Amino acid sequence: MQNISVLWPESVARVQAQYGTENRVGSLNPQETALLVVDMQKFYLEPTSTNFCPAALDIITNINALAMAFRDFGAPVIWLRNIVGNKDIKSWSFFYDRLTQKHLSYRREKLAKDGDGFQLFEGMDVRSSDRKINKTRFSAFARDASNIEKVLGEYGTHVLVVCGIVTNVCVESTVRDAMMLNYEVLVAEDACASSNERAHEASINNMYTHFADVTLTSNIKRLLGQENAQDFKASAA
Amino acid sequence: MHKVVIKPEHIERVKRRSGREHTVEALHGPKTALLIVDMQLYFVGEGQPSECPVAREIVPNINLLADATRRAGGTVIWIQTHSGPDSKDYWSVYYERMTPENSDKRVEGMSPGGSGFDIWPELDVRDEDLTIPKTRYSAFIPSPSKLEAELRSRGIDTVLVTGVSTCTCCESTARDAMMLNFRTMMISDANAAPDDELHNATLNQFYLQFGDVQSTNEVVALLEKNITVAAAE
Repeated sequence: MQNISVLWPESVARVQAQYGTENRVGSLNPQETALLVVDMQKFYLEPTSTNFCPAALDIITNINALAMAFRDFGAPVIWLRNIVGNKDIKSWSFFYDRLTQKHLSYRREKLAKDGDGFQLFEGMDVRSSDRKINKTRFSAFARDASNIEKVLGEYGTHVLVVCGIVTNVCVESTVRDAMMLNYEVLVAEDACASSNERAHEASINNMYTHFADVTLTSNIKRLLGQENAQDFKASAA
Repeated sequence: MHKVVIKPEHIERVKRRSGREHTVEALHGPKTALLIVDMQLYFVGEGQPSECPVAREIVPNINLLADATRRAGGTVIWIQTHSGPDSKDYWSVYYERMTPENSDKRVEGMSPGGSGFDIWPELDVRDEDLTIPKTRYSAFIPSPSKLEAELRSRGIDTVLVTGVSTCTCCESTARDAMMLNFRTMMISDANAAPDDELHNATLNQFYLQFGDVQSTNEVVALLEKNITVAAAE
């Protein structure tokens, strides 16, 4: 077990009791694993935005390292982006009606397809071989929120490594739904962020206890390599 | 009972963003459903594999809410986890990570007729209520779900989430309900979790990002107000 400082001892004990191990994911097969980067958009990363999440700036390096590792192993890198279209205001009225007119107009303008908050933040190392998926809800897997299940089907993906922002909202909702749709999920803790440190911590513990395995960025590359090493050993034998 | 703490700074933030403290300020009975998640022996009973002791303490509140919901013309829905032997196939990632002993225990306990399957006997389940099975943590997955179809066919646009456990099945169900555009509320003293910290983490985040959080008394008062208005008409 790596030292993940935000994991509570009782979460580790609970996982150990339920699953007989602290880390369920011992290797990642690049053929069936994809990286999901959640919402690293200007809307959340530009300091001038009302939705600026300062902690998101601290995870850019780790996310770019994860993306590079996935490309090195020929595994897909998928960038999720929140988008707001006219029809979403109506189809998700419970969310949009709660906002004051000012907040609603701002969000609607910035996260529109041509809005200046919709784009991925400049610091993100996005390559032409990567895939971008727009989503209209917090969870990419909410019904009709995106075409993610179709895309993952095309790649033959069964395992997801998830990172991005914010941990307790879009990341956790996406992770929960993915796990219930029978994807194996691994969260890169130090490549996730929330504007509220306590909320990040509670969310990581909750995901770890019930929905996903949790690891650190530095470990992912090793896990991706593990599978190949095993294949190699198997074929050599 | 959990000591519920919604942080004052969260209330301030919601007020700034929404112009009010509570998103759900009125309830219309016929458009409202009370969802009671997983109040089965498996989670409520002493010595059961996934016992959550606080679940026994929220029973009176759930019964009060169910009564008020029915009197207001709303629908009471008991959500019951079914995990038959086939659940090991369609939800293999979940079962494969458990020890074989735990995975067998779960299938035995929550298969229809299993030792933890029934709804806790002190809950006041009535003939006019609905009992709807679910197969994952969230009652809305896979989608479309039987639950959603029942809600839509009855014209229900508001769901009140109660049951066990706050941070797992209740929160997943509530998050998904909100993203399916139901006005969604988690009831603070009618949900149960393994400890106060997990319980409050869910309620605070839900209140901040997903929907409303109110207490049993507040919700019963909103339903009573609706009953009074309906009687006057």
